[in-house]
Amino acid sequence: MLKSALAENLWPRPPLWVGAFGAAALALLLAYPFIFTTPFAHHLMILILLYALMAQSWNVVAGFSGQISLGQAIFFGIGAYSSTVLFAKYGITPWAGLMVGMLLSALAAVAIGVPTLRLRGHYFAIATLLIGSGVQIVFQRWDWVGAASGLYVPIERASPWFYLQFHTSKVPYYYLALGAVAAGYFAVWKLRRSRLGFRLQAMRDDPDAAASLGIAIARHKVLAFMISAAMMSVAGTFYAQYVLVLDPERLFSAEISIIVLLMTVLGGSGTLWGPALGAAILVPLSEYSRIWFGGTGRTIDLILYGILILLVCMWRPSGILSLLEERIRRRAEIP
Amino acid sequence: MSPLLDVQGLTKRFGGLTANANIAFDVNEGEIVGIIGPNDAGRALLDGRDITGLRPDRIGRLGLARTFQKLKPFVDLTVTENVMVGALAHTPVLKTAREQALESLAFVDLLDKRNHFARELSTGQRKRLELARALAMSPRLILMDEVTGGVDQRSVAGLVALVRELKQRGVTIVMIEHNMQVIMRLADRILALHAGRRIAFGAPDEVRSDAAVVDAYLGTIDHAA
Repeated sequence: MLKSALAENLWPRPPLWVGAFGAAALALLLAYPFIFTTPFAHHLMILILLYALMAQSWNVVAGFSGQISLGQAIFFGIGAYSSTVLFAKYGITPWAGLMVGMLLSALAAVAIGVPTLRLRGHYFAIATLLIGSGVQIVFQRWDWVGAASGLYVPIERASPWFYLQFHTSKVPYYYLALGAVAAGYFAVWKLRRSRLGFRLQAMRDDPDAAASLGIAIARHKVLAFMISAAMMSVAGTFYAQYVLVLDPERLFSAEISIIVLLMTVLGGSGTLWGPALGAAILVPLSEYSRIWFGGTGRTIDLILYGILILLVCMWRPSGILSLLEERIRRRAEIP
Repeated sequence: MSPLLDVQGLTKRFGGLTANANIAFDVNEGEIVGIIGPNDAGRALLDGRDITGLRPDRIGRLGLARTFQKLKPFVDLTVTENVMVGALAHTPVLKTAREQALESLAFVDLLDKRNHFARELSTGQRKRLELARALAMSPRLILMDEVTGGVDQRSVAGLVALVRELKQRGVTIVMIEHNMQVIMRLADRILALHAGRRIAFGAPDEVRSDAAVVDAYLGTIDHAA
């Protein structure tokens, strides 16, 4: 039996229908802007993609590593401000700003994580939530970055791919967001199949047992937080280039930190595709409720989120995707 | 030959309570040393951290593996993945880790559950999983915290056989047990603790007939009368 066990693949091949579904989904995503041609359809999908990336960032630190961060908006804001400040003040391309933002976010994650990740249980969540509002207050009062009125990304009509601004169509933004999501999800897919990924998941399930197996807990927690922060920062930079306006009230809001949590938990925390599924459900819900209910709809979407989360907790606490994953992941027992 | 593990003058206090005072014992390569003690405080002493004051992950990397009295499986990983985490302590290569994990699982007879999630296992199976996980680290010494505790009688025999087989493979073991039958059969030497003090250390027969041990465990005839 050992021989037959050794002959198996470490990563079982998913069934054919999963492959077929994946290929169809990819084709649909690539062709989407030409099938649905309205600016609203493009806008909706760009938001879904950005949120899918943001939710995945939360999934890395919380879903895989078990540290509930409620401060993800910090890194979203840092990403947005890094590229915009560099471009508005020094004319540096947002591509460089993207990298700087990732680096600064990772450094911020170290600064926040080293003292707070020693806390067990819910204290890390509370600490990140409070640090998040602290950072927001700093940016609302910091004159050099526009204080409460924020910053505008200066309009630049020449060489749009260099300046990451597209004024005639949203389609380039769509493909940029799709590319960012593809890169981010591929990175997490690789992470999950690496030594580090195994260790993070072990740490999530039982830190004491993980430590007894030689895993340096504090270092791994901070590492997961850094990866998560860098991912969130990318979404921030792209968002800034998309809306061209930085408003610290919105960028650093706790709502962003919480929405990415809701999306991931809804879709399936600790799974690769759960965050994307959650984003694909919640973003349209929010946008359409705003259309149907007008200005008052802003709160309606939160009520709907609440109901959805309640249903998931009652009926499928591990998220919608867990129904599928479990079936794919566990193969038939070998006699 | 110097012992693999040499404990000297070990004292552990929890606040004002001295759990253990000035304990000394040694473990030779390939030996099974059992630790018995009527109180929980005495047993808590043998958390690796308390032995040397090092961080647990450092102790793990030094080649000291342990199983937990209160079982700690990685519930959302499969059985194979659980054991792979142990093997990954000394190899960065997933393929190697997986091979070693499967060998460990075959040894503890849990291979048929390899693709199950750990949360689906019974208590007896979880004990085996912990053993396999510790074993996959290729440790120099394994601390077993009540390996037969909390499982049904039928599983005890299997676990005892497993420990005996481990010893035959040359694995050094320190086991903390309250099942006297188990420890008398398995251990080469037994350390008896009472009220945080060492009252006997020697071969099972010696310890069993030691006056202080009998007194601590059974009470003297005077007390009984």
